[in-house]
Amino acid sequence: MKSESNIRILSFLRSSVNAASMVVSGVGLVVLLGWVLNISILKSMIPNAATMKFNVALCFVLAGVSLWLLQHEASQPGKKRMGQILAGLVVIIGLLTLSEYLFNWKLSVDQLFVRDAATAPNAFPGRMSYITAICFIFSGFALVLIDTRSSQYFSAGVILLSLLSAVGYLFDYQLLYQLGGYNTPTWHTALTFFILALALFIARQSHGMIKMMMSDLIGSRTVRLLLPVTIFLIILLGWLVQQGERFGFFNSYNESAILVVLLIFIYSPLIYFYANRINQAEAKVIRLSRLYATLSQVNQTIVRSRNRDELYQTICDVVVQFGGFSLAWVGLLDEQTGDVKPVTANGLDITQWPFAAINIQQEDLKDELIATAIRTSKVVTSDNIQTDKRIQNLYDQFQKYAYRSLAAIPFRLNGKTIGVVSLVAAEAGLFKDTEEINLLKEMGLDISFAHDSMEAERAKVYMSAIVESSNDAIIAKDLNGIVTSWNPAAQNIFGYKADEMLGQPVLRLIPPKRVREEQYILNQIKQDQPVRHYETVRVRKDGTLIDVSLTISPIRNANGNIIGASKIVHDITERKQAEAEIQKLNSDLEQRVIERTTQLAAANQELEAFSYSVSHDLRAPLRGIDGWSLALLEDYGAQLDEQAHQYLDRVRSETQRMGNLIDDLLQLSRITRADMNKVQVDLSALTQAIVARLQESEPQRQIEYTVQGDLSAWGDARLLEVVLTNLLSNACKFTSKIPQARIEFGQTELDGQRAFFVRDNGAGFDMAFAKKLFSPFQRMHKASEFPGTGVGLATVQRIVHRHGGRVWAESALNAGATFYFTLEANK
Amino acid sequence: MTPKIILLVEDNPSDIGLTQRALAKSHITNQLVVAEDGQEALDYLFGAGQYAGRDVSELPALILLDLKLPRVDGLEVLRQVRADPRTHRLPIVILTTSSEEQDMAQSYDLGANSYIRKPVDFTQFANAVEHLGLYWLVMNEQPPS
Repeated sequence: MKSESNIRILSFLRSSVNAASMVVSGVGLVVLLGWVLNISILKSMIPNAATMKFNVALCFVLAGVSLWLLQHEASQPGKKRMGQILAGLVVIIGLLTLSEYLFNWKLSVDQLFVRDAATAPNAFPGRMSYITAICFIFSGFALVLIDTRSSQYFSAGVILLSLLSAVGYLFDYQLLYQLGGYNTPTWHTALTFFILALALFIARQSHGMIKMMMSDLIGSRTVRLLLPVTIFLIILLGWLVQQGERFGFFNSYNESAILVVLLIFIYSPLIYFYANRINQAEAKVIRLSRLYATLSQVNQTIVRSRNRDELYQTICDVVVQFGGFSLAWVGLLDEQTGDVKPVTANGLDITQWPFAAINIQQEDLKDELIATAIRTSKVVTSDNIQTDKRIQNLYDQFQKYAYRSLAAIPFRLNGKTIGVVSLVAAEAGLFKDTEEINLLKEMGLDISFAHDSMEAERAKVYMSAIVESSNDAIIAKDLNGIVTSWNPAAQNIFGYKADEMLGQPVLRLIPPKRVREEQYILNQIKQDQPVRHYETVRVRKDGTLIDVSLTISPIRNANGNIIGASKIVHDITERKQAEAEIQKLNSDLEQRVIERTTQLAAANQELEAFSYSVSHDLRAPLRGIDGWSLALLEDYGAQLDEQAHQYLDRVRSETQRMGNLIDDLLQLSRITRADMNKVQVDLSALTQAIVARLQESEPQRQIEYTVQGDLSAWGDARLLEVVLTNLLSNACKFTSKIPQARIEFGQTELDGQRAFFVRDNGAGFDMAFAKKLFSPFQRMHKASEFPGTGVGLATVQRIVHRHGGRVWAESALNAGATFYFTLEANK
Repeated sequence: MTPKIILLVEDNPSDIGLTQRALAKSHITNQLVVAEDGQEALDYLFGAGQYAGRDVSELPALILLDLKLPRVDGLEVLRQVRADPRTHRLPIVILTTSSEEQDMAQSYDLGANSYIRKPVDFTQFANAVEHLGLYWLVMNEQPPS
């Protein structure tokens, strides 16, 4: 991985190469222009200085363009080919010129394009110096071979030669640039070569010497800083010393001594400075290695530990043994009190210390190191706890030992900080840099991860215990309906063992007729629709069908995608049987009700037929008895004595009584059978009407009637009239022997219920017989006193009962009677 | 003009006798034809059975009809009499022991002219028969034949 600074340097290098290619070809072009237009200033750049030869300028243009074309390693092949051809031309021109020097040939390359008139004829006019030629040959090769390692050696050679000339000019020392005594490279040729060669040297950063210089390692960095500084300094010092000599400050004898002293003076601190930097870097590497080793050991611990106590102990152990720390301890947060209590330690048994010393809730301890780490859930470090104010209550304890650096690493369980690992070392400033802090953070994350995964493992074990012990079958399947999990209950319910079902289609459990259900269920699951309490039928291994209730939910993977379904199968065979049983009982019951109803209807019909007979057939003989008795009296009355007359009268009156009895009985039976038509009945008005009728039928009686107004009830008007008529005419009858008869109708409240009453001041009856009162044919009085059939009150009771009410009486002999009745069922 | 016939449809001999006695006591001298069941009454009216060949144009002035009868009951007799154009205007008085509302309603629905419940007391019965004869045979205008 390349660091950011490295990338910046690289892009600077690339643009420099680009710029250099333009400068080189630009210089060449300017000089060419000078030759073509014959402007001397353009040829020499400085007035009266030596001119750059035409061929030199041409080669610079070629080389510059070639460099521009070749500057990117990944250029198109055509572009590269062109660049290499141009470079080849440069090599050829260089070689031709050099061979002119070596073999004394006259190849007339020198004046091929323009004639150089200014140079002395003995000095081969127009010909470049042989150093220049060598430089061009080297540059050309460097360009042609630019993608190979050897390119940089050629360019290094050019750098050396151009530097030689340049330094020669700088120091005004001709030996250096007039090497060989022939034509010399001009100063601007030397400078242009330097630029070109430097550009070639750095053009390919991925290999060769430049690669070494470009790396992020400490050696490369040192080279990058030291090399330019050294070159610049030496040249500067040399030039200064030479200038000093020129102005007579010192002569050539002490010149070397001064230079040596200056070099020692300047280089000693420089070397010290760089050595120190290298030391620091190495120390950091060692520190980080130590932390890495610790982290790696802690990670192994995490993988191996089965429970938290073991984890904490092993962490403390490896931190001290492998990490070289003096002390390591794990503290756990007590959520209630806010105390952080050490549970495990290595290096010093601090679990015995008074650890109310750390508390995340106490205001005065809020800046405390470890409390802060837990509260903020961030790594907190101290370079020197001997002088760190944040150590607070632990200061006394730590002072006794040579502890310096401290790091408090909080860890979490399910996102909640539950404790802290503290690392303590004897060295100061151990956790200074971001790299170290990052490693500590990583350790905290790893320990948190260990907690989470232990917890998850525990949950998994717990879950699987539930699944194993469930009475319901718990089955998992993928989206193709293939079984992926099968618990013991599934084996019990379906009869298949796990190895018979895993990997098999769940369709095996579905009766052929219900195969479409599975598609429906899978579609629901794919749409994230759970299926709940779906009652259906499944088939066992032995082919028997079972009733089941299914609850099916989607299973998701870590990305939240639905990958299958979990299915809980509840065997509801017993319940279904019970339901069937209930249904059968119900239908039996219904059948019985129907039968009973039919029987009842038949009985009713019989009763009706019976009543009809009674009304029709029983009355006919009575009429016969009466009629013929009368015929006897009429036709043979003269022959009968007084006694016979009396007997016949008795026969007739008994016949009459029997007729009445039959009529009353018929009414009673008719009331039982009549349909009820309930409406709101105005009882007060009804009573008034009955009273009026009674007064009419016995106008000679003096009776005081009291009728309470505005009384109404919900019931059958016709039947209620029968009730009131019976009660009122009874009252009338039983007051017949009282001179001041009083009869009252009203309403009263009894036991929170509305009751109507009819009260008289007549004969009354003995309460001992009150129960018999409402049975048919039961009479309380002699017929000679008060005639009657004993059916009236039975009729009253039957009507009141049909209204859901009750009827009762209160009385005493000769003290009147009160008849109460209610019309609604008791609440 | 010969006094018109009264057709008494009644199966109880005692009641027949009492009716005859009551009519006699009321001086109603019309000829009394007794049919002892419904079928016999219909035969008489339509000239069938034992009355085959009878001149059916000679209609009774009044039919006293009991409801509970052997073979064909009174309501059926009433229905058939009212259904036949020859007899459908005949005055029919239901004379019965039944006091069932249902009988009464059905009788009127089928076109009975009157409904009399025979009282147990003969004196009352005789009174009723006397009023009947007086009303239907004397006061009431006969329907056109």
